[in-house]
Parts: sequence; structure tokens; C-alpha cells
Amino acid sequence: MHDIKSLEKEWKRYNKNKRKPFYFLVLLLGAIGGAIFFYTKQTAITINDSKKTVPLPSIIKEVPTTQKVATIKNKTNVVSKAVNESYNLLLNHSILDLELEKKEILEDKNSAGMIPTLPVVHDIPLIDDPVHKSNTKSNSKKKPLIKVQKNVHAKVKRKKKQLKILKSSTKLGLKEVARRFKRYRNVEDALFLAKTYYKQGKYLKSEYWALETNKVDSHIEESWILFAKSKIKLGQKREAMSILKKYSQQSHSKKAKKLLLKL
Amino acid sequence: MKNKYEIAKDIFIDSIDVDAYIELDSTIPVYETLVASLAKPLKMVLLFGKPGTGKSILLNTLMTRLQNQKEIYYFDTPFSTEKEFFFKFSLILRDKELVRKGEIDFSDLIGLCRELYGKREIVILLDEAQMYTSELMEKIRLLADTRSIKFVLTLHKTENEDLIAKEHFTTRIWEIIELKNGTPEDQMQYIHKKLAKKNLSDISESITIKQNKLMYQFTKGNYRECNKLMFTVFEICAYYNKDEVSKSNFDGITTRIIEMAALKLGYIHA
Repeated sequence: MHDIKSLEKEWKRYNKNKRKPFYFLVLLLGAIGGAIFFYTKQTAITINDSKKTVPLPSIIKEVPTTQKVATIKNKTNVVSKAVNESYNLLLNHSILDLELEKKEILEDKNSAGMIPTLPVVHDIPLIDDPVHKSNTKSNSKKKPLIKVQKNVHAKVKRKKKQLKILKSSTKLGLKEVARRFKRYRNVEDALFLAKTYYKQGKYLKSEYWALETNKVDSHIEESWILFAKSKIKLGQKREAMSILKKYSQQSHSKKAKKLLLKL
Repeated sequence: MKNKYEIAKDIFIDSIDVDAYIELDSTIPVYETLVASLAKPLKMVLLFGKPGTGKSILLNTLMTRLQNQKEIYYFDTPFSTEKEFFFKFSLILRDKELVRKGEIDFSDLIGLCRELYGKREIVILLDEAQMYTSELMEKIRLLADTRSIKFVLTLHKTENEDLIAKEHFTTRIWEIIELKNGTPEDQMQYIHKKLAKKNLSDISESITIKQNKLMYQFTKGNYRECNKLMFTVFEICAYYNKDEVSKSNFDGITTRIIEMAALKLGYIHA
């Protein structure tokens, strides 16, 4: 067979051309597969992004427009990181216009003047209050105490919404709460500060904030107990006993009696 | 000395010899129908099909097998003129008078055939009848009417041949037998039997079903095309088997060799 070489060459060309549709089909299927993969990936990302969006708490709607303190019920397991961040941000914005508190709130030189008599709100001469004297003199930006006294007499009826700052142990956080209290006079803020400072061992501050709580609302047992405890920690046992005696006589508080018996 | 592939190549040389005839499952019923039709009081039998379906070899085989039983004659080549046909026909009739005259009168021929009725029954196999003129075909029809001559005609199946069959023979009692192209199984059987005749079964067994299917794509079941393809395949195999350089790599019939043969025959193009 003399033409075998040319036949072999011809066959190679044929074989090469025969595979072209196959390669084309493979490329086409690869392109379609890639397009489907890319499309499904994009769809998955879009779905994930939409899931991440967490509805902000109601406080976001209220705070910018009103001057009321909005509180959110603390659901410890629900609030995500994004919500915490947004909340803290809102908190900062909401108290920006508040006056800055001094670094040291109290220097108790003469604590005798701090002993309240029941009903506390009416008998405490705030103008003579040594705690506030220094503050009023030094910080002119603060509101006059007379106004505070008036406010103390009147029971402010507000919608109670629990607001608990998750990271309240930080110095900055406490200051912000204090600023908020100055503005809105929320007993829970003052009580929270009293408790926090007591836990931290800052009994002078806890005493002060317990007293502030009592000024706003004299019927809170916890603030009276905390006030007495702070006094005890500060070494003013007699005064603490006196407070507890008077309070237990008027309110018949079991806790106050119990603490008194301990002393 | 020929190698086995050269022997196999020679098997597939296109021929109508009786030795080349292969009985297949699909062709056996056709042969038997043809034999049975000769026994019937039929004047003419029409055997038609595409070229390469085995009409000629079937007629030849029929003649070879029945020549001891019947007075049967096979004309494989069509006659160019009527004169030639009648001359040959008269030789069959063995009428010395007609032959001596030199000229054959058709009416005399008809009369002679009528006289032979009951005495002799002659079967004439006419191949490639599509080559005959319509006048000759009419005369053949008249000769068949004498009932002493039975004609078996083969026609290529085309639109024209179908028309001829319809025009000339619709009024006659006919046996129409069609030969078709084989199936892939028929082709496989055909190749196997061909090779087995020359004790080359090892080659036939090496052909896979896939390779057979590939060959069928080219031949479409036509036996003449199959002969051509197999001849070329074995021609290539014989070369590779002989050549010192390629002999070591040669491993029998492959898809590559089949495709090379198809390229050579023009079934496919690069």
C-alpha cells in the first residue's frame, strides 16, 4: 500500500477535527456550570446579608425626637453585637448635651450634714448640702439647686422603661449614666450608680447616689439600705443605725430591721 | 507467503461466485421464498432492491442449487439488442430450424413456446432487467404468457424501476420479493462467516461490537460497501503487519485503521 503515509496524515487531521465538537461541548458545559455556580453564590451572599440585618430596638426611634429616657428591656441572650454598638452610640448621642460631671463627685468632710430625716426630701436643706456646695460653686453650668429641690418635691410621672447599660462598670459608662440622671432624674439611674459604686467599694460615691435616689423617690427600700450600708463602710455606724431606725419605724421594712439587728 | 490479513483481504473481493454467497438469518427467508415462487404457477417473479443487497449472487446461487432439478438459465449481463436476446433464447429452446434461419421471428418464437407447454418448464433468470427496453420487456411478458417459460427478473430499486414494475406487470400474477440492506447484526454475521470460511475466526473475533457499529455507519448494511471497506481495512492491516517498522506496534484491527479505510474510500473526510 503505497499511500499509507498520506493516509496516516489525513487520519491525524480527521482525528483532530473529530474532537473539536467534544472540546467545544466541554467548554460550553464548563461555562454554563461556572455561570450557575457564580449566580448561586451571589444569591447566597444576598440572602446572608439580609439575615444579618437586625431590627434596632425601639429606643432608636424615640430618643432622637424626644427628650424622654427610653428604656429597653434587657434580653441578655438576644442583643447582638451590632445592636450593642448601635445602642452605645445612641447613648452617647443622647447625653451629649448634658453637663459634664466632675471627676470627683464627693469629698465628704462633714458627713454629719448628710444625715437625712424623714421624710427626707422635705427636710434636707440642699443649699447647705456640703456635697452640692462645692459643685455649685465650681461648675456654673449646672442648673440651680432650687430647681432641683422643686423637682424633688414633685413626683415626676414618667413612663418607666428599663434601661440597662451592659458595660456599666466602665468609668465612661458610669459618667454617662450620671449625666443622664442630671438631665432626666430617673431614680433607676441613680440607684444603679449607687449599687455599682458600692460593688466597686467606692462607698462615698455610693452613699451620695443612694441619697440622690432618695431625693427623687423616698420610698425605695433598696436605696435606704444601700445608704446605710455605705455609711457603715465609711465608719459611720451610729448614723447608719439612726437612719435604719427611723426608716424601719416609718416603713416597717424587714430588711432595715434585719440590718439593724446585725449592727 | 501471504499473511493472514492478505488472505482476509482477498475474501472480500466483490464477486457473485457461489462460493462468496453467505447465508444470513435475513437472507435465508428470501431464498426460500424465491424457491417456493418457482414452484407456483407464476409467470414472472420480480426481485428488487438497492445495488449491493445481493440480488445477483442470489440468482447465481439459485441457479447453481436448482440446476439439477429444473431447466434454469441465468443471464447476468443484459442484452444490448433484441436480436441478441432472441438468439440466445432460441439456443435455449434448441430449435435448430430457428437458429439456421438467422433471423428470428417473434411470432414463431411465441408459437414454439406454446408447443413446449407441458413438455418443458424453463426458468430464465434475468439480472439487471432495468437495462432492458420497454419493448423487450413487453415481449418478455408475452413469452411468459405461454406458461412454458418462467422469468425471474431483478431490478434496482429506484423510483423509475418501481414505475416499470407497475406499468408492465400489474396485470400479471406476480411474486415481488424485496432485498434490503442488512442490520448491524447481519453485517457482523456476514463478516464472521466470510472469515470463518477461510479459517480466520481469530480475526473475526477481534472485531468488537463498537467497531462493527462504526463500520455500519459507513456501509449502511450494504454488502458491496461492506466488501469494499473490509478489503481496505485488511489491506492496511496487511501493510502494518508486514512492515518491519510498524509491525511491533501493530495490534490488529483498530478504530484508527477503520477510519483510515473510510477516509480512503471517501466515506469520511478530514
